[in-house]
Amino acid sequence: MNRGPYIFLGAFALLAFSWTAAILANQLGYGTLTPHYDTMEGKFFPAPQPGLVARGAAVYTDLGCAVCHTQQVRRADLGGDLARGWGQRASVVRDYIQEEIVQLGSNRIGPDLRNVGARYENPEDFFNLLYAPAQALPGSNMPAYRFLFEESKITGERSKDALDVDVPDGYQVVPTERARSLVAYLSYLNDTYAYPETEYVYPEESEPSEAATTEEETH
Amino acid sequence: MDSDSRTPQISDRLPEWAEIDASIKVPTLFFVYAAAAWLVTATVLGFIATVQMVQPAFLGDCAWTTHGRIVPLARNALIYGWGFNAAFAVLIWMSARLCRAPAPKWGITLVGALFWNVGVKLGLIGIMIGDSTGHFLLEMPSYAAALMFVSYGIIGAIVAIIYSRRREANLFVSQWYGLAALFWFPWLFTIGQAAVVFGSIRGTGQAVASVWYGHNIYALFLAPIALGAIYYILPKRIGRPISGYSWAPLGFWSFALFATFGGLAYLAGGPVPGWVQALGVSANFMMLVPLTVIGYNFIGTMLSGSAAGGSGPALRFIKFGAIAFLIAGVMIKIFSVPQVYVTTQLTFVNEAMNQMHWYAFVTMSFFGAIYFLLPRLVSQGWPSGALITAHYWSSVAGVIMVVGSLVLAGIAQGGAINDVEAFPLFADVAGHYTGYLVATVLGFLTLLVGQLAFLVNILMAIYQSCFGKTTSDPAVLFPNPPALEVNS
Repeated sequence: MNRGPYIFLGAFALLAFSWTAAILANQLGYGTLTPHYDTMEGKFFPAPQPGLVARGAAVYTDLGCAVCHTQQVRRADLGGDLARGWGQRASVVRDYIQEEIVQLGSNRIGPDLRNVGARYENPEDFFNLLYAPAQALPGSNMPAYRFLFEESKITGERSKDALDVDVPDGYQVVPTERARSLVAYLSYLNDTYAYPETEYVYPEESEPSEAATTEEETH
Repeated sequence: MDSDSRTPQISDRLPEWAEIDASIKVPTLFFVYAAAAWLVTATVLGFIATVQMVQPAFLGDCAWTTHGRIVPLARNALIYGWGFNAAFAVLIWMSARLCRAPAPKWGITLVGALFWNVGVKLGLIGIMIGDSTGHFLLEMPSYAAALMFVSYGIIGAIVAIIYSRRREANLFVSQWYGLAALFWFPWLFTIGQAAVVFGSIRGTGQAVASVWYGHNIYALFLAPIALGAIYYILPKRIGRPISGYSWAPLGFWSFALFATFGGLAYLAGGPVPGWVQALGVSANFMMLVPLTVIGYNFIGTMLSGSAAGGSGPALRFIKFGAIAFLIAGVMIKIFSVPQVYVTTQLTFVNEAMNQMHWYAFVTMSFFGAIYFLLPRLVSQGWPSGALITAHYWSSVAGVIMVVGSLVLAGIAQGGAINDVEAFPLFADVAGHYTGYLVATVLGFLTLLVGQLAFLVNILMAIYQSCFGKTTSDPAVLFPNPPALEVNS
């Protein structure tokens, strides 16, 4: 008996089944999920990404930040994410619907960044971390992203964006456009809003967690 | 090897082995050489990436070599450079031999081969200069992906033509795996590109599509071809048929059915619906069925060998690959238990499992297949036995060091991240596992030694076949029991 056509059809059916279950079912299930409009605040959650933030997300992608950083906060019963103050609640599907490229990540060589915008409110902190992580955060194993900054001789007045770092006299370090957009994206990462489903699914976490701690403790 | 031993309905002349081998010799040798060269590249990149984990400043001042780009570069070089080139070599050679049909004009295959490799190079340059799409194993920008897709079309068409020319209606199980993988990859690639790169899916559905694609490149392309090679070479080198061969089709279908969903387990606990996570985890447990069947086939065949048969470099690598396949299956079950993955998820254990699948199983099996097929193509033995021994032992030592150290690093890392009281500062976590990563660095160096020995041996064999004289008639050089040469 010639089994060739059966193997071809079987292989096709199997992949079609796999695609239906893994991709199509997800798309049908929540592909059309929309942002939640909060009538009290008069705003959409998650907020639409401004252009600078979207460009920053592209920088995050092309530099491969997701190799070392996840963007997913797990439930309280699955690891120390909430205890570390990486978020006030577990991440849900709706958190990601405004993102062009979803970068969940698979290894936590660095901390989770899903709510990093809530942990560092000052863009300066991000710039210092990117320029010289070991100085900004002793013990950090993050490489320095000096190529996102321009070191230049001060001509005339010092730039108001210049970083407060060690440079020879008469020189300054200024973030590039890419650094600015990346920091705008990082500051945007802030899923503190409680959707109806987050309170439904994780009622015990809907109260602000005591573990949501200060900046120094959570980096 | 006269045609009397063939099935009686075949009346016309069967092509001779020499004729079949000649029709595929040049492109297959090119694939083998390109694969080995890519493997060295991938390991050097992997080595750099691991050094950067211990010494973050290493090559960190340039955007092109920042850690976030080196890691996808190493991964893509390993999969699309080494894995696919080696898979093409094994697939074309195994198909031609098992179908007992010569391939069409080898020049066409060579064009496909060259363009595939240009596509991979272009893709890696794209990642390096910042055109990465950011999705697991789909990082290569679309200009490279398009070229790779077209070249795969050429190579795949050649294999399909070989199958269409076959004389024997019955397909051996290796051909099942080969034929299915041949069609699975272009479908997977199309789905992956459409779903993720061209942005038809938004939100975490992207993450689902991405892990589904990334895992299926292993489960539905590399693994089937590696399994096909084991099913082909194991009985030949041992001199006994596959034990429990009638069960092999069950192994084939159940492996494909369950392995295809295995990647979803990486999302357990993540922001995707609970049923997606449950599907991935339960698929990993259901892998018990194919593991039992395939394990029975492999282990039974290995144990059935007599003392006289069963030696040679091909068999050593193939045996290692077969056992690594079974061990990887057990490991993935352990890491799918919720009490375990609460610690090991989102750590180096994921990378350890990748190395277990891609290196310990697939790569070692491909090494075995290449040690088997290349001497037959060039009609002479391997130039250096010492280099083969060096390759084998450094591969075994290297892969154990890499996988073992990554598992230990991952457990230390996950434990420290979850233990907020002992490690209140995240910056202290890295210090808890960096020691293990030093062993990973040494493991990559050990692998590299073996791969260089492999590459040198290949280059010497190709050089001798071009400029030296062939030692003797392949039929005398490689006696095979006729009953085991074609379908059994």
